[in-house]
Amino acid sequence: MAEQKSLSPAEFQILLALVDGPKHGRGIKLDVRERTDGDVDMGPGTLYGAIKRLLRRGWISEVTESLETVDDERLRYYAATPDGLEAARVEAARMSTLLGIAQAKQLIV
Amino acid sequence: MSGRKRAPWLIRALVRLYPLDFRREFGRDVEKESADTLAEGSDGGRRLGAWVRVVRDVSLSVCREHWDTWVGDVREGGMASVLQDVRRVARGFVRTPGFTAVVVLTLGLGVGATTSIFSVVHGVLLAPLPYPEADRIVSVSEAVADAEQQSISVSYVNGQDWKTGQTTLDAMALVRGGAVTLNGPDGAQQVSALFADPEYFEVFGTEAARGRLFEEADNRVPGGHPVAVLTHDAWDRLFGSDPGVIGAAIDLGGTPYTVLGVLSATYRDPFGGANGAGNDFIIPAMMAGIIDPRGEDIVTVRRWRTFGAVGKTRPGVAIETADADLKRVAAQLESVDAVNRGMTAVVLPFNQVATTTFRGPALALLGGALVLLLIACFNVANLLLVRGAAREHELALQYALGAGRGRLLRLLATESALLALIGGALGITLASLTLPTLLSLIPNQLPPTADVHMSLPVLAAAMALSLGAGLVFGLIPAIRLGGRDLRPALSGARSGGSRKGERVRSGLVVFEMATATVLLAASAVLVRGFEEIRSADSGFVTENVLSLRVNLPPATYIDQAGMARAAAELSERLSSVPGAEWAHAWGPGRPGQSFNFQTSIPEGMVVDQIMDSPLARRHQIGAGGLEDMGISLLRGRTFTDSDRLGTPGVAIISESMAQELWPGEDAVGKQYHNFQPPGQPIPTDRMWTVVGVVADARHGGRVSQPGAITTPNDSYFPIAQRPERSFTLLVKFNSAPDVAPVREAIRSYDSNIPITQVATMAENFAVEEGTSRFAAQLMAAFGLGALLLAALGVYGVIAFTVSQRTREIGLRAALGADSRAMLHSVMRRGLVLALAGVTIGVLVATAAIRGLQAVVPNVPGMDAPALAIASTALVLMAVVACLVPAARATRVSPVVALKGD
Repeated sequence: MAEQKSLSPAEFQILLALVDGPKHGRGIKLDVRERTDGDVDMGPGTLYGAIKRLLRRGWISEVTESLETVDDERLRYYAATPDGLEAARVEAARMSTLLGIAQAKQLIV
Repeated sequence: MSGRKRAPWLIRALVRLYPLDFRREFGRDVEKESADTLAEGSDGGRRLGAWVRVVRDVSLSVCREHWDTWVGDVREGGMASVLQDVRRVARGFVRTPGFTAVVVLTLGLGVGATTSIFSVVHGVLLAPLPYPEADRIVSVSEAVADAEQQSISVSYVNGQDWKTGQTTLDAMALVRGGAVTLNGPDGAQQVSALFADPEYFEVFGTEAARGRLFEEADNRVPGGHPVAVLTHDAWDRLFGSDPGVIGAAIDLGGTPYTVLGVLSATYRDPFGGANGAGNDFIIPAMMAGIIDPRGEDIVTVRRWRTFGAVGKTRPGVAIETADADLKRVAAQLESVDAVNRGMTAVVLPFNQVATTTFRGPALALLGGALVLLLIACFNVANLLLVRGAAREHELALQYALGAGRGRLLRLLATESALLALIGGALGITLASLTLPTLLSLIPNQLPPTADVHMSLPVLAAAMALSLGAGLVFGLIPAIRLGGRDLRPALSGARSGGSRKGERVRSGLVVFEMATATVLLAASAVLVRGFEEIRSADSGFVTENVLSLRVNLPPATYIDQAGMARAAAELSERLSSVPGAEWAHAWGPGRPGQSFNFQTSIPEGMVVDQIMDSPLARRHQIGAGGLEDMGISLLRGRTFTDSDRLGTPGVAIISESMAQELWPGEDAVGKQYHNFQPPGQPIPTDRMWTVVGVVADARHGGRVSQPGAITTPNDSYFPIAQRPERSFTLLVKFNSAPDVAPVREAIRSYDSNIPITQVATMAENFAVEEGTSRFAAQLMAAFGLGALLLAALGVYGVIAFTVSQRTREIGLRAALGADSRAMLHSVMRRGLVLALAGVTIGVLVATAAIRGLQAVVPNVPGMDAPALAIASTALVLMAVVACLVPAARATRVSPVVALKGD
């Protein structure tokens, strides 16, 4: 499988959304949209494409026990794995470093 | 489905395109999420925005997932798995050589036609001109303020005022081409000279390879600067690259000119020159009087508009800004001289001006080639579908053996890509092989700066076209396979070709027929337009008439009397050449093609502005010439020997001109003159008495050029009374013209007279008709190609249907069905498809031909014959294509057909 260590923005947002606990696809999308004041609004393809890649890399996993059903159809919940949380932390740290540089150069205050 | 809402069909169709693994896992999620997102948009505007976002997002994601899958597969199996696929597909091709050949040939022809046309379009219209910052080079012309598209030549004096008044051009130069006589040790020969302002070199970024260019100081006094710059080619050709010629004097028309320098070898002449091969000399504009009967007046008198103008905009200045700037200057000049009243200036990109006549036909042909490629794509898609259906069993078996649907799809994709690549390679080969032939079909029609070859952009475009074609024809079978359950195909071994598959294939055939109808109708109209041009009655004798141009050297033929005498004596000599019936001088142009106009104002009519004057073409002809040319006299008399220099000016005018100038009256005996600014007396040599009226003839060229002045008015003058330095000699033979004795007769008269443009009138017409013929021939070829491809499409579908229905037909035959009824049923199906396609095609064709009329000159309107020819040809082809499978159906033996069970 493709072993890429970098996180795409969509993947990073999904991991952030899952820090609080498992969510289903639409829940992730709504969480991201709310947190970013609608700036980040993932389309269906972007959302599930990113979910697929995170699953393949083992950074999120599907929650197996039934949490919620609609008309007998079980919604698929996803949870961040320890590896996934670690990846999100590394990415956040990297961003924080960048932020520090930008502040040092007084790009932002 | 969640049961809440079903995703719209478009989304479901898109989701179907995902790789199977992804679709299995997330397909429904994506559908549901899309439906939910779309449901959020409440009002119309937001809903549309949501649609656009979702469709774009899902489409991009489809591509991304396919890429991921492919990359994953390659990583997993290594390049070996891709190669394995390729090998397997290639083996399939080898197993079905007929199928492969048809597909590759179809594609190759489509790509080849498009590529070769595109290489011409690229070389002529798209590639930048071979000059530094070529996009800043502009052409400037004068025009009547309310008829700007009919731009005309520029007055040299106005041009100089433009130069000083404008603020948007870095440099501007007035130019005029002409033929001059070079007297060398080998005798006289005609060479092409460009008379130009020194800024010319700046505009085109040209430098001297040797010596120097001429400068401002070399262009001050009319007739006072006998200097010249040689092009590198002329230096090679005329002087054997002799460095000694620089600084030396050469004899041009009897005057010694000092050669200042030689242009760099990379300089490409932007103008055709007198013989279409570019100019040999560049001479200061102040010397242009030597090529015009008005002499130095053409650079000192404002009213003579005989120059062209080119310029280079300042960096960052838009052409529209320069246009407005020059219009401002032209408006100021209106009050300077009455000849400027109502006149304005027009600035256009130089490239556009250089290629106007070619643009329309070239774009039309490119469109035709693309349509042909599209038909080819549909055909290949159809063939793949038919084969896919026939192979369903094989595919199902592979699937059952665990090949995986994704793998099958990948095989199909590999197959399409491989076919596209092979077809594309064949197309590029065909295009490069046919390009020389293609170019030879357009003699003298390409602008001199055109550089047509298989360049990198052309190759890139060809490859993109092939792969695009592969995508179009490969996608359709892939979608079909993508959504299908393959198991039934395995059990019911021969049930292939579902009803839905048949619908898709039939739809493709209808579309193909429609497209082919449009292309055929377009080519029928173009061919008819060309036929009309070719067969148009010119109104004068052209059969076995030889035409050639002579240019009288000013040193020998000093004045008008000398020129008049030479015209008469040359005609006299040529008429006694063996086989000749008659010979006449004709100036300043030649019959059939004359672009010399003069203002013609009836005596007593008051005209304030030059542009309000009636216009007529001007011809000068020897006594007896009109009669011999078959331009019949309707009233009055023709010219006699007493119409000569020193006697009152006479003219013979065409019927149309007589009616315009003196409606309802007899023109014979009336007087008219050319435009004079108000208050100025009419010079006696600019006043003519009409002595005769002749029938109209067509002297405006065979093909109307965009923006050209068109008038049915012709005026003829005795060449003995209005002599020309450069004129045409026409020699009528009683059989095929013989050039050698004509040349010899002129040489024996005066070996210093250069002879050029030797051709029969038929040859002259053929050159003029070049672009039209080219467009018509090529479009006809495209139309024929479309016809064949469409027939192949119909054949494929019908033949396949028959083969699928063999059992049913056999059963019916066993039950005693009439074989004729069977034939009818098969034929009916083919005809329904053909008629549906042709009907749609006819509707589209009417619109397409209106578009064609807008870009190609002399295209007749859409008419019933063209449509009838196109539709009949297509329906007939469809019938023929159905006959073979239909006949096969009637011969189905019940025993054989039913034995399969």
